Amino acid sequence: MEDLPPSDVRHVLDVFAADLVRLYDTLCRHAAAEDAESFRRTAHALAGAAGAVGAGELDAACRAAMRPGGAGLATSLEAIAAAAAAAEAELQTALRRLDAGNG
Amino acid sequence: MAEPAGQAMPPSRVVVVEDNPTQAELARVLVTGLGHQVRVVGTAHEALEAARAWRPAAMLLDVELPDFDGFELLRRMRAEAIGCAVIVLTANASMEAAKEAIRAGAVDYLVKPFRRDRLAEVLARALAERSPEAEVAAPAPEIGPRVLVVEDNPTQAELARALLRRSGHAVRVVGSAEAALPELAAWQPDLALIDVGLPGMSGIDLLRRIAAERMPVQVIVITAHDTREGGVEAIRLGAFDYIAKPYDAQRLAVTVRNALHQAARPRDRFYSFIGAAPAMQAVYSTIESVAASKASVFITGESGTGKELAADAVHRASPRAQAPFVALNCGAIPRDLLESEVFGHVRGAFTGATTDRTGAARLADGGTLFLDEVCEMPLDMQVKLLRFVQTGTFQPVGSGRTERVDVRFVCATNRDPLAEVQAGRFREDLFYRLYVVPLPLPPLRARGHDVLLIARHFLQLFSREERKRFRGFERAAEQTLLASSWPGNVRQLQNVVRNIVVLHDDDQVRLEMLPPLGRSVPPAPVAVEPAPTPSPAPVETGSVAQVRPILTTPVFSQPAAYAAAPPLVAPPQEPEIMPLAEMERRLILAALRKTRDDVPRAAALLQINPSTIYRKLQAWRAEGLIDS
Repeated sequence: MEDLPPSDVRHVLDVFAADLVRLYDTLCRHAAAEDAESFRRTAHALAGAAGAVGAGELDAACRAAMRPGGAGLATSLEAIAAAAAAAEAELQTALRRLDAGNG
Repeated sequence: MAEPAGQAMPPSRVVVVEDNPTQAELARVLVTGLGHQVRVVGTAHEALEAARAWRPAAMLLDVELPDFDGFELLRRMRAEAIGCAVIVLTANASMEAAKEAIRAGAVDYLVKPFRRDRLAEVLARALAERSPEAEVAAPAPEIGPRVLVVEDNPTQAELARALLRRSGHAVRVVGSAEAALPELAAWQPDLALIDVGLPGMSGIDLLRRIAAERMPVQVIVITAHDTREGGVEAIRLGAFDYIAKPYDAQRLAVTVRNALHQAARPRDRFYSFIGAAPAMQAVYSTIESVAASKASVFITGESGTGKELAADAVHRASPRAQAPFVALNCGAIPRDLLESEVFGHVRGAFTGATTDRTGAARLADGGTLFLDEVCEMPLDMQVKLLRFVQTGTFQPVGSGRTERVDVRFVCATNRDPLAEVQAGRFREDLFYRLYVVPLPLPPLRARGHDVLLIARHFLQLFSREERKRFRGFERAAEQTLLASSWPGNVRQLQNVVRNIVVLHDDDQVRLEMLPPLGRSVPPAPVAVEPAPTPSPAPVETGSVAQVRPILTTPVFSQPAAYAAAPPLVAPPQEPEIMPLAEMERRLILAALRKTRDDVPRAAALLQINPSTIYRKLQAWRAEGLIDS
């Protein structure tokens, strides 16, 4: 990401922000429906997106949720929610920096 | 109001974004009926890509899409200044959504189900109101190698796009293997970056399609985090390399650069072949083109040019690769046994047939039957082969039962097959049955620097086998190798290198280590005896126009006693009693004659090490028993 010009970084982060909201919402729905397989698939997608932009904590939380025999859906979702909130905060900081021309 | 029903409207590009196939098809029919060009996509991701690459004038957008919603798509299009008039498609229950879409930048909305005249009206108004800079424009010029990214995760797709564009590549992104196939066909990218874990058809299945259809595209596979799952299989299927997620910019750039570099370079290896000469590139292309078919392949070429390697490559590149490859040398099998070798026999079919025996035809069922030296086949056997080629059926010797098999025929000869037909030694009807795809192999003298590629390969191989130190050739030795005419082709070169390795040990092959290499000009024409049936040791011919022996200058000179050596196939009842050393020398020379100076094959016949033959020859030369 650091090799990219700010406009490209901004674009990728925008896409990630949208992915984050969409995939987290989807995870919530799968958890509510207790659909473990769909939950695992969505966690995989969110892990991929987080890994691509360097959101390591969220990436790790999603991967932990994907492990067979891991914590239940509710516990996994809680861990992902905390990591997603941290990633979101970090993302907003990065976007503000980019907007301010410091990116 | 806009003009009615699309009249007097110039044709425009319109993208329909709809994940419901019925509604998508309905919209396609209606918009096409209005005279516009239409593309239909099923996801927002694909819609964004179509908007970037195709530059449509208008877009009919269903708000609820499987990947991200229409609002997000509108926002992204606005961020990229894509000047496309978007008309939102909504159900009654979602009017609020339509209004929100208009606030987000859509020009209008249509409530589903909509009528043709309503569509025409809304579309005409939308197109008329578009800003001038957004007029239908040709797609932006694409500079640099083309890379197709096949990735369903939008963040990862956009990151790959940004990184690749930064490296100067023209990039397109699709979100599924199904969407990649038409892009591969229409856009013809140089490289495809394929995620293994795609929805629907997997990345590996897409790679299989690419391989099966021989699409001219390099492939790099993107595998899941911290795992090689899929990567190894991808390489086996023909991918250039794989990268595990998450990857950094440098890793991606280096792998992409290497893949594109390799794609631009002529191949110097192809199955068991070594060679980068243009003539060999043509051979490789022909093999790739014919491999998938069941058509018979007829390989021609001088002795030692690699006809069996070519047959093997045809088999291994074909869908029959997992089935047997059965090779039969028609010139090496006594004529009385040939029918039994090909078709098998039943117990009691002839004296000595004590058990049933399966023939090559049955053994090759489902695979490939390679008939080497096919022009040496006796005429009566050619009739039986013709029937087999025509019908796929045969009868084992002594059996009344007809058997059917599925066999692909590959034949080879070092003669000119048409000349053999004209001379009456090969049946014309059989020739035309087998000579469907001709595959001529070039002689080594026409392959330029391939001589050095092959020589270095053999030097490395034999040095390892013989535990010698050789690492390369001195410049002068290389020049001599390049200047030789190689009448015995690759087999002669193989023998020469083996000879050097066995008899010497050094870091470099020096000029004085080279044995006599034969002439550096083409050999003179020599007439061929017009034999009605082939001899066990066939006379080799060149072209129809100029009949000439291929091996006028063998690697090893032969003593006068050589010609008088007793034949191996039919030895006298009571062998002449002579010193054992003399018998050994005669046998070795006879084996060399039978194999046309192919030392490894001669050694195999005698069940000794090839090095033994080289050492014996050196000793006999030193003693004056054979010419130096």
